[in-house]
Amino acid sequence: MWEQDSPWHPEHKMIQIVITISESYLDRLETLAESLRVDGLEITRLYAFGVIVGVADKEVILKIRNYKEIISLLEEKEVFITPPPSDTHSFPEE
Amino acid sequence: MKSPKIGKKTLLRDGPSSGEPIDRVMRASYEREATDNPLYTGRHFLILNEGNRSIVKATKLLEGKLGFTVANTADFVRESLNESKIKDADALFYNELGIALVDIDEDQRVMLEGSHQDYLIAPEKVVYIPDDIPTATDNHTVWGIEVTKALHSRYTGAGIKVAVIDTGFDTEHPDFAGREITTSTFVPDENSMDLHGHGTHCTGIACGAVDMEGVRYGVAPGTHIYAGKVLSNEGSGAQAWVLDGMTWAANSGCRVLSMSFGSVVFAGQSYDIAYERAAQYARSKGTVIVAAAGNESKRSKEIYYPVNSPADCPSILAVAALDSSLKVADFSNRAINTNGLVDVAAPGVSVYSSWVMPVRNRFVSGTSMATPHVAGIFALLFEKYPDATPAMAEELFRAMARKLPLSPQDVGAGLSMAP
Repeated sequence: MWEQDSPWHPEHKMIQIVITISESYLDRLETLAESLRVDGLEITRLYAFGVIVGVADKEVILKIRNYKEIISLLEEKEVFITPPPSDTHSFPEE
Repeated sequence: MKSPKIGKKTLLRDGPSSGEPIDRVMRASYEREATDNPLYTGRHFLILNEGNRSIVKATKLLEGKLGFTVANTADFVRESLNESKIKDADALFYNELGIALVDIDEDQRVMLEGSHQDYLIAPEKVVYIPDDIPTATDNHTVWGIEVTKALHSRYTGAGIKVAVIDTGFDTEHPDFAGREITTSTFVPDENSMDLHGHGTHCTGIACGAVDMEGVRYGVAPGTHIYAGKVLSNEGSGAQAWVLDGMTWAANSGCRVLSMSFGSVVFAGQSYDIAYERAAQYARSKGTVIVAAAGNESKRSKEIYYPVNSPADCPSILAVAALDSSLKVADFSNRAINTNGLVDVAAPGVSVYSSWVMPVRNRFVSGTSMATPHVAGIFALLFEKYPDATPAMAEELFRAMARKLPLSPQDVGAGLSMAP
């Protein structure tokens, strides 16, 4: 349906990701972040303990996945008080 | 348009009589859920494959083939749409979405399905707030702080900073007048005020004081409260907000961080390295982190779920819930995955604490309630041993736990006990 270069093509859908850097490379976290930026990652958060949160499309993710410094690259999770389909957190009689 | 069929689920439903055994009440609740609360409204959605580009075509189909009166949200530009305004319509097109809500019977559904390939037909679902398991209210409203011996401890957590990251905190709550409270929000476009209630309840368990009747319900009433908002007023949040909150707590010098939320983890799944890294960072700053094991299990039906994320991280203590008979709570998750162990258990059924005003106080159940009990007990421990590292405090904590005749898979070291 979409042209390959259309920003609406599924390949260009922006995904929120969480990257964890190997501890061996923590001393060059800033340099690494800069390389990731150049490769197309839009960094929204950079934590000194080696975690980078950002936004990228599939193409960029495929590219940066090969960085040897990255030990984990996952889509950002959503957290809940009581994960569905739980039915706890009860409110009994007042 | 006919009205949807929706089951009755309210947060303030009539409770059971206080003497009723909790397992019977829970079973009744599950059975009621299966029978009384419909999954679907009886209406259907027509989802157009090409979105709003084929609305005209689909409108003609409904009008021509079924003789329908069709309304469109575009007709409601100057006034807000309300279903009462389209009582005479058989279908309503959501113009921007390319979806129509249609009032069709079984024959019409079969006919529509057979006559076209340009749309899908899906039943309209009923959406619910999380169901309430009516927890019997114990006569001993503060059984949690009694059974853990926090009520009679000589320590109050004086001067210890305790962070609770959750839905925020009601800073105007009268039970907390005069307390040292620091707040921060990591939820975009929301201030740190708790408009949900869960954060105020959890904070009250860990750090609360007394209610208007003079009943004490908090484990560590001498603490400096750090309330971080990482979950929206709707009760959910993004992982990045949680990482922000964890970093804030650690950098603020909090000795304890309590997290009563999570994401579902399935059997065989490993822990999240980003959370683990944040937890290691917090520990390096002297912070002990506790998190809820999760509430997906239905033990009375032999359904068991693994410990949630982030509680399944090796550097975070996972907390299971017990009822007042010191049995594992029906909903409490268990250690199934290699790293996702249950570290300890604490009171988590019918727990009395603060709630956002004007409600002020109420009972709630969940591993969310067990977790701040443990956080409060760590605050007492840090008052007693101010120089203890997180590893030392955890070792002391495990040694002090009361062993229970239950599997460590469910309760870890046992019932958390105050020093």
